[in-house]
Amino acid sequence: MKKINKKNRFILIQLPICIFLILLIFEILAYLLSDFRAIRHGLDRKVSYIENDNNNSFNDILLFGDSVTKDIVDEYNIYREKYGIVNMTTNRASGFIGAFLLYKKYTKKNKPPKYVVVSSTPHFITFFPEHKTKELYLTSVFNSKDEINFISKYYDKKEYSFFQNLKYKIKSIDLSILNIENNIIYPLLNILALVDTSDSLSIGKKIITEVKSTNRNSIINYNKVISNNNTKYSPIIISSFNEKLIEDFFRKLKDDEVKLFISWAPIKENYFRYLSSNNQLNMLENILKKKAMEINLDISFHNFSYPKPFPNQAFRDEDHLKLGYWRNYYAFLLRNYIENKVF
Amino acid sequence: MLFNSEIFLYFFLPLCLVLFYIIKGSRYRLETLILSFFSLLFYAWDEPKWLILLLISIVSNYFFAHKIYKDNRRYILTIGIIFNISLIAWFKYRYFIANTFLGSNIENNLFIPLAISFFTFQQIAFLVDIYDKSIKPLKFLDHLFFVSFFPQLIAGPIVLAKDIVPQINKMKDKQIINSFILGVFVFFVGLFKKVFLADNLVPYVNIGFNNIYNALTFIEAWSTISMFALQLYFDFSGYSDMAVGLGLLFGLRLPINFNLPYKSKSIIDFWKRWHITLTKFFTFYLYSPLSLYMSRVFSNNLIFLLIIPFLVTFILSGLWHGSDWKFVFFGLVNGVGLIVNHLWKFYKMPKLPYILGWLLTMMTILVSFVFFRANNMEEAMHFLSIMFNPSIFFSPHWLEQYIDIKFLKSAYIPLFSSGVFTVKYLVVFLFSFTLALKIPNVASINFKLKYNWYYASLLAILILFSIINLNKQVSFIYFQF
Repeated sequence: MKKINKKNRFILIQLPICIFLILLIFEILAYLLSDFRAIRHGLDRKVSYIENDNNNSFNDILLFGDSVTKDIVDEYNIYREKYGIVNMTTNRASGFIGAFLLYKKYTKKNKPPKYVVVSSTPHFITFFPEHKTKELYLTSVFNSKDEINFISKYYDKKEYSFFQNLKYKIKSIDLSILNIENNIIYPLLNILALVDTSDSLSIGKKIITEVKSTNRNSIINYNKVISNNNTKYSPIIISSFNEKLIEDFFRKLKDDEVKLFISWAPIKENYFRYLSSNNQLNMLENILKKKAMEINLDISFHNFSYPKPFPNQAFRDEDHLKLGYWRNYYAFLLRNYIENKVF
Repeated sequence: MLFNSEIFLYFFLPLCLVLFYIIKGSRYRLETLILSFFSLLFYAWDEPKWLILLLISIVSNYFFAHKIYKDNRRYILTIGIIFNISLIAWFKYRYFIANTFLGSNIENNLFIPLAISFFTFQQIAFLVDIYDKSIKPLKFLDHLFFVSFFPQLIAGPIVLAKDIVPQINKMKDKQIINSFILGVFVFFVGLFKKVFLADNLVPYVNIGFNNIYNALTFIEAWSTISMFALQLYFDFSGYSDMAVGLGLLFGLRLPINFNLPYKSKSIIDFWKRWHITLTKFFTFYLYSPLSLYMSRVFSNNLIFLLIIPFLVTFILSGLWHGSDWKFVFFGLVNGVGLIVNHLWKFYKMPKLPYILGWLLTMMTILVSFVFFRANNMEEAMHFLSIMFNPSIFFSPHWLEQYIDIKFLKSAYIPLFSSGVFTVKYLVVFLFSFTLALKIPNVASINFKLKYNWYYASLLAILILFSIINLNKQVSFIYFQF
């Protein structure tokens, strides 16, 4: 038999064996860690906390919202000790469907609250994550068989093109190495107790500075805004899947005898004017009201941008409020709203 | 087309390799034809319209080269250089020139033809070398191949004809290619640097730069720009390694572009290790002639011999990167650094300890990188004002839970906003920094690949970890030039 040379042996024998062994090592590691959840972002933390908490507690309010509200609720203490409030705020990436799944997970282990407050930008209600975002914030977080089936109810089966389908089918071979972060690194961090999920449903500790109504007019902010005058805002579009999701979420709230409060979080003045001029927000509120009335769900609305919208320079980017005064101001408004309107 | 795209890795490259090796095994000498065809396809993939510009440039320079060689007249060389400069000036700098010199106020959002800086400068050097008689003009197909060869076309390394032409002839002589496995190895080292290291640093850099006007602090500014330095190095040296690796797959050795630059103990040392082919280009074709001319006209005055040639060279090399004042300042900071370094040596000042020299070098480089990364001059100046204002020093609010630091003000700061993220940031930074110093220069001719289990497992790791990170598809930073 002809002796194979060093180069051929390297490329035809040694390299494939090494690749196989590495794949095998990752499969074994992933198998050993399969009982531990990956903690990659705030939503993972909240889900992990709910899953591991067996207190069956009762809280008056579940507060949902996107990152605009999350920034504030994670930082400031909007709690006056007379009511229990659970911080369920996430970000837009998981959408309203993520909020619904989080609510279901919470009420599976705890008593339903008296009130659900959703304080978010309007797009949080209509956003459905897709592709990688869907995988990162939805299907890999709410990953039981029931939850996966539940999620698929709200998605068009033809959501992917032929090539995307092919790509996802290849990915469904599900080699552990293709998703090292989820299969190995994050579960490992979880085991090593490097990820703290203990207070992931609690609110921030910073004391809110009282704001007088005149303060806002005199605020001088030297920070420059990252301006982008060319921003093109997209209209609010409600799909049939979106309507179905709203109906199902509302029905669940009705069954649990929960009162729903929806408050629109601060948005840039430009965006507010855009929404107002197109009657977009009214349209969304009307649809939500109609869906609630059909099943007799108690619902009420509030808008933090009304009557005086937040100025553009209050934002550090397209959505989020600047540190300091403006965040404190929103925290102040949110606390007062919950105290005066919800209770 | 990007080297880190699936279409390139799974379709374009394998098809190109198979056809190339079939041709190579046959009696037909069509290697340059097949590679030129694939190179033009590669160039035209995303923006086919610029292919016409590339072809115009190649055809024109082909004729200039022959004319210069035949007549040996300086004015023909001058016309050739003016033609190339005009091409790049029109397609890359016309708004900048109009705004700077004609007082216009046009938004500088020109869509620049891919790789124009690279193929223009490569051909200017080619014409100069022809005039100097250091090389002969090429046959059209060889000229087309020399300029358009896809591994080096888009972002260098800037290849000189005298380095590559002898290799093209060898390639056509049907010599057996011994560098294929080495090429695979070098390519995957580059791909790993790009997709596993550089692309994973992007979010950390972006957080800092997105928060320039949102209470970014002193430490955060230095951390952000240091992280960007690592991102830029892995991105560009990764691309250069891939280019060298691809060249080796076809039996050609392209010049190296990087040699562990973050080990440099001085600015002079740094520019011998960073973007080596560009430095060589500017040294041979701008600095040296200019310095020589100055010394003839103004005698041996340091200002004319050293300072002015360096400033001109570095300002123009800065401008080569982009038509914006921020790139002029990028060049200027490095130019001033080099002048100081040369004057230090000239006046025989005491040699600095390695660590001090390294620190000063890195600080200069980081300052220049602020201009490189910032979106505009205003942003760069604001960022620098934070970097050089230690009073904007706050300890992150979460640290109060663990340590009571009375002498430091505490605040909610944007980059190190949580303990977990801060630890992650530090781990990523230290890991990347260690690799930047430790990954050997595999693209160098001195690197010898051993065909043993160690290198097989290393290559397996590089392949697997590169492929699983492919989906990000972040463009190469130097593609914009």
